[in-house]
Amino acid sequence: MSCISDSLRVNAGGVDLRVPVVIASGTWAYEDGMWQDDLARHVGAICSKAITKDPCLGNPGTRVWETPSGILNSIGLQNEGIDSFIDHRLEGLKKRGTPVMLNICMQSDEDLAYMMDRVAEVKDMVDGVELNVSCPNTDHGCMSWGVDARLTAKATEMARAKWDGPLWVKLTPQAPDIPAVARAAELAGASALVASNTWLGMAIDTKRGVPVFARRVAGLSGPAVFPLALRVVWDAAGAVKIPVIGCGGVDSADAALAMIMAGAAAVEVGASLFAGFGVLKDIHEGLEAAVARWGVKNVSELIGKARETR
Amino acid sequence: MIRDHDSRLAAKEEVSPGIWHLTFECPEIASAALPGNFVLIKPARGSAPLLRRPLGVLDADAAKGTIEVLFRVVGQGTDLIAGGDVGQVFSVRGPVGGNFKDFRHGRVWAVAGTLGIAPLLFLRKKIGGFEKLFLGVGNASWKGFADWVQVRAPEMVLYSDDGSIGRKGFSIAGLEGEDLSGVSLVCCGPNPMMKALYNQYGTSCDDIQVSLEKRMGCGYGGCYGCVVDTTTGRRRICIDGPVFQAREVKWDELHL
Repeated sequence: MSCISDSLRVNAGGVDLRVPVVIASGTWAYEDGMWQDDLARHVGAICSKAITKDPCLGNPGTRVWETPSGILNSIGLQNEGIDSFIDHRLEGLKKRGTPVMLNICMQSDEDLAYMMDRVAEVKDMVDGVELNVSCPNTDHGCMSWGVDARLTAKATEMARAKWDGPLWVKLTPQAPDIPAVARAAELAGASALVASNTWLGMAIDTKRGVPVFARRVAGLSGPAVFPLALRVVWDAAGAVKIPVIGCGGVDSADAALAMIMAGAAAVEVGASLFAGFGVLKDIHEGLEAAVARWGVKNVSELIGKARETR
Repeated sequence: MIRDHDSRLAAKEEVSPGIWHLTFECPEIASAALPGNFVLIKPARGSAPLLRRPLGVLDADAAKGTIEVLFRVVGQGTDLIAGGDVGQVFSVRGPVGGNFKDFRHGRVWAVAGTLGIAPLLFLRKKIGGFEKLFLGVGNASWKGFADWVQVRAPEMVLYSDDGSIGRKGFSIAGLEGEDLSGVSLVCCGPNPMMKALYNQYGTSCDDIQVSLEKRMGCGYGGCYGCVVDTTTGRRRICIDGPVFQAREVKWDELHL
């Protein structure tokens, strides 16, 4: 373990991140080799794959498609379900030492109530909940919560009623009014916001003359969306007092710093890991250098820096 | 352990037009790779293209610290890799996936479709040769490639779709009329070829190991972008495979 200074330590809605870099949901594996210190020391927390109430097979057919500097995905929440996750996986993850955020995704009120009851039962094992109101890849629920401020508030309230720990709400960029949704989540009890999930897109297989994905649409991520995500971070951070975690196309320390200067307390990294694991070390070391360059003691002093002149 | 390694391109050879044999210096992968494993090579620095290209390991030499791959240029990514200069450093992720293993029988036969030969040649080296090896290609434009394989695997019997080189037909035609009861089969090629093989010989051969392919996102089991339906659920080709027992695969649901 290298010596890690506190210059990058931030508190993101009750989650103590020793590095303001979080691995985004659905982009990391639970296998042992992926949690070794050479990689883990560069991250502050890891978000679980999305967890649903019941086991979910996910979508059939092609699930990923490369785009210019990006990737479309239509995984469709393949996972083992909350009961199996808690009974068979959570303890093993907890032992590895990196804080784990449980990404919770629901179709209905009943799903959410059941899952939050289960999470509350194992409170001591859970570092926080990332409420997923934004996955675009299912026919039922999820993103339909997050496009609507009232439904975002309802989901957040329900989760908060059963869970008094860190509660991040992961927003969708498809929401027509980002500040309204952000404020709704904050008022309903979110302790931080994640801005944001993937952009709705699609692809056509021109050799066969058909849509690439069985559900036609898919979520776009990767560096291609970074400027779009930065705007969402700016809008969300301007609307709330709780921390915002920037997510979308972060592939360098400079991109992470831009998110932070737009108002993010931390960033999530996802598709860039597909390109290379080195992005974690690059961001970690680059942010340490930025703290020194800007002459501050902690990276949190740079949060919203770019807003000062507005 | 799956990690990214900066690897120097040590040698390159155009086997036949558009088909490349590359050697990389990568001691970590060279000492760990097993037949059936693959690596993911980043075609260029930066985000264009974003994703790595999965390529089966053709050979790994722990003593020399090198790994070899064999591939055809099919798009921007493979074109960039093939266009690399000797001495250029590429990021190579691996080794990834499981391997051909636990053969039920001492007699091992191999069926390959074009570039699917790559992991099978690695296996061949480890087990000292196949009792039989059938390779299928499209037509005579593949002659240079077929000759290159023949040098490395003299037992190879060649088939071509149009009969312009080798015997006419698909490589699985090599199994026709054979008694497979005491044979382990290994197969790598286009998924439809392996599906056809299983449909025809799945009852007469009790050990058919296939290496599947599908578009991949991460290559480390994180994204679930490359799953296949199996008798034990929807599994990731990258790290639960790519080698599966053919009877485990739900071939009718495989997206071809």
